Amino acid sequence: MTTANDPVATLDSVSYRYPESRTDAFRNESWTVNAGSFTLVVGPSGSGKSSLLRCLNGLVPHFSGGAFGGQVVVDGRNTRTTGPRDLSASVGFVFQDPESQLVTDRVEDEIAFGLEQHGVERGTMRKRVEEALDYLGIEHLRGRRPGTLSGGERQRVAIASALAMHPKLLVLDEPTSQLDPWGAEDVIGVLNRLNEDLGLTVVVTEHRLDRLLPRADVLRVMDGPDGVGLTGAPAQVVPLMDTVPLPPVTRLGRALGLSSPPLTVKAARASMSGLALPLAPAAWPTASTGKVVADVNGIQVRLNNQIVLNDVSLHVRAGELVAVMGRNGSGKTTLLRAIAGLQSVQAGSVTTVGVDLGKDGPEALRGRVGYVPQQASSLFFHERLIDELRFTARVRGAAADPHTVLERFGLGRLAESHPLDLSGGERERAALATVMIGQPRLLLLDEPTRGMDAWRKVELAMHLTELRRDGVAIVMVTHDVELVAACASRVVLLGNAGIVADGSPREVLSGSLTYTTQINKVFGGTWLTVEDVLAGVSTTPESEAQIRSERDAD
Amino acid sequence: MGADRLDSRAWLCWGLAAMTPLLLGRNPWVLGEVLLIVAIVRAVWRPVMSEQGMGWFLRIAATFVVVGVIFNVLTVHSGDRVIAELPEGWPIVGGILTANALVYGVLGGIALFTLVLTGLTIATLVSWTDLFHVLPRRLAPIAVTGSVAWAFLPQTAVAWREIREAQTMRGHRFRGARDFVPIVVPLLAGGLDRSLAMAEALEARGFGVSERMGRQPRSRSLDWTFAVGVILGLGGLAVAAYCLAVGMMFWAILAGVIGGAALAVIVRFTPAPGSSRTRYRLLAWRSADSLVSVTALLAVAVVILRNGTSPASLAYTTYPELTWPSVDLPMLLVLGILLAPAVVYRPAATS
Repeated sequence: MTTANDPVATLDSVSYRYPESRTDAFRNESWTVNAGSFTLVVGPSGSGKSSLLRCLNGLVPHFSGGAFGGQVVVDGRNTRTTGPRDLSASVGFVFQDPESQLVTDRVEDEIAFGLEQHGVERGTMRKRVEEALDYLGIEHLRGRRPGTLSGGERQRVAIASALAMHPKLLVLDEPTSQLDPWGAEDVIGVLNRLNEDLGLTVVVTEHRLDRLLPRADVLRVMDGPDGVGLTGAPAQVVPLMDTVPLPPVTRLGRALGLSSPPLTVKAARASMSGLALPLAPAAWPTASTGKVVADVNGIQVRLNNQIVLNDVSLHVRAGELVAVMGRNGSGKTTLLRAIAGLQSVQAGSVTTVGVDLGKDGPEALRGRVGYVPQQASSLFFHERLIDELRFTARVRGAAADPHTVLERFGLGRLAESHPLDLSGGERERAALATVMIGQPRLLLLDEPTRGMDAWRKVELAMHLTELRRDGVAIVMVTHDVELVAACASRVVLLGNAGIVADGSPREVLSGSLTYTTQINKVFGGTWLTVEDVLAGVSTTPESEAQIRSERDAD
Repeated sequence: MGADRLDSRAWLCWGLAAMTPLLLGRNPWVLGEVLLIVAIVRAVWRPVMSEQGMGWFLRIAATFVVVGVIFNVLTVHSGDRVIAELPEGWPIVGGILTANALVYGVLGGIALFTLVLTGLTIATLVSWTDLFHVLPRRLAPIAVTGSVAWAFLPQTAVAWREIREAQTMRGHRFRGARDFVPIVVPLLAGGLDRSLAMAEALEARGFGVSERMGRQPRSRSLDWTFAVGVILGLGGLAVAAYCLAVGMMFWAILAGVIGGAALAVIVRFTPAPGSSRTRYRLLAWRSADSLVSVTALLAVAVVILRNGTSPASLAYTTYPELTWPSVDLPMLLVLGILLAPAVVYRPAATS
């Protein structure tokens, strides 16, 4: 029997290179996963996190091929000689995309799938399926088709399927990156209970650290400051790692020089409660005076006999970045599609870049609006990135120089690269560059940060801010509160088929129970970002003195 | 007798029975009746059907029907009812345009559309998981493949729409076949990504696990037997179908018996790898399943018999003269038993 602190998995000098790749995915990884631990693996896209996780159940190298060095021993078995199928009873693996891992047409059968493959006796199987359904709180979903479930529900079914195998180790590859905040919270709550109540060993990789960092007891940073990974308790590793991916309260603690930066909002309240700040920044209403670029007047949209939007009006002006937020099904994407002329409206009118969509039809809008769908790679079909831009220029009859546009988005050196070979962040920027050819006055973005790492989000915020300065109006559907606080000029909150709030980020996000930033939860008022607080601190001598004394106390 | 769901095998029998007359001839009475029956069964079972994202299949089928009719009218310059004439000098389309070609094109279109509609109905109502359990273990991967493919279809339909919209907003116009490259390439790339992800997930979940807990080691000779048996079986059934279509009843029966026997033998006597697999859910075969299966197989038998003894019952051509099709009333009445699924349906009691 495995007891706490016995190793469940050991990686010894593991290196891996994908077939036909010229560089290693990762090199010389050596660490141990102890029984009952909750390990969080972090690092930028392309740092080898997913590949490393796939070593733990033998998908690397058995499924992916390539050059594999060193050895991985999981549950006493060497993955060189034991493949993923054989390890599936010991290692449960949950993938990033909830749509591409469920096989059967009933939730109940999905949970039993692995047990059937392993020839588990029927009585035992029924008991384990019931236990998994109950534990994950999805008993009510047992007869449903997986295709009808939300993303969060699907991930919980995938976890239940893994749990039913009674694995020694549960490995999850960015399990919440495709989910909305509520779905993500459900999944992380489940992981926490599995680890704390059942003692299940968990290894998870994720970009959004605010929810997971406080729950992890081991933090593994890939591609650390010296190109060497860091491993240890979060409190030890956090002060040494790059600040960009850290949750805002932790980043603030680092910026203030605290040797033990807080990992949670609660800890931040405790450690920073005495921080003397000046008056909070004023929550001025939005006051853009630019020309109206998108004019939505009292529209009603019905989908599947349900009213999704009712009497919604929105006027987007040049130079505005309007973030459209709201729970799933609140009509965010429908509103974006209506502005783009892709969604017919039952009542009201939409005028976009001067085109009355009711009168002239969406055809008149063709090529006059930049639109990046959720999957940015949907746009690419050429073998070279530069050809994608040339294609847009040709179909729009634009005289823009594609090389100049690529340079502007920091992609000049990738002009000859295949668009699908680019990293996630590069792809998103490439999509932006592709649709911004011809300088459209309106840019529409549908959840652009889904699955994006923290470094790429910073880059995206920077590019969007530049576009705003150039007078481009931007409408962005997103769940990412921190991104909105960082770069939006206006927030439109949808609910109950209508607009429930419309104003500047400080007006809408301040004091909100669900749509606000970590910093606002700590400091209240209209403080939203780390930069707000740092700017405030620098203006008050008392605060600086206090920080010095806290540093000394640390 | 009433049921809120039918066994997947019963649905397969019904689908086979509905498709058989469509494959054997173009008699308008038969086509019309089968189309009506399929539409009624779909309407009755709609509450339990999940066809989200599947409408595009029917739109594609309808497009093919329209294109097929136009193609037939413009390229088949034969028949006794001339409705128009194009200059002889025009390549391919030049010559007389006839009502014969028009009617034949429409009948072909109805047959194609009904086949798609029947296939869609079956694919929606069949439980791939149940099939996975009831198929012989050697053939179980087919059910998993079907399940995965069926799960991918709505995603593919959604991806098609999203890519088309994104390319349209970019400024692209869709005028000819080549203009669809900007949709097809990202669609294939995305599909490949999803396929790899699904294959990884199947591996990671132990699909085809090699831990066979004391079972016999895999035998190469059994693998060869299985492969030869499958080729012989499927080949025999294909030959049987061809012979049936051209009216060679004796050879059709002979090839069918050989093919069926070959499949039965390999399924029965070649154990599958991973044969330690167990079943979570036991499937109940109910009287409604028996009724639907028996009536379907009876309909197939009658259709095949009538095709041999009275070809005009199913066959119909509009060339060289456009005449009224013959009516085989007894056979049409027998085909009516394909309404059995609609008769046995009872909504599930709500708790």
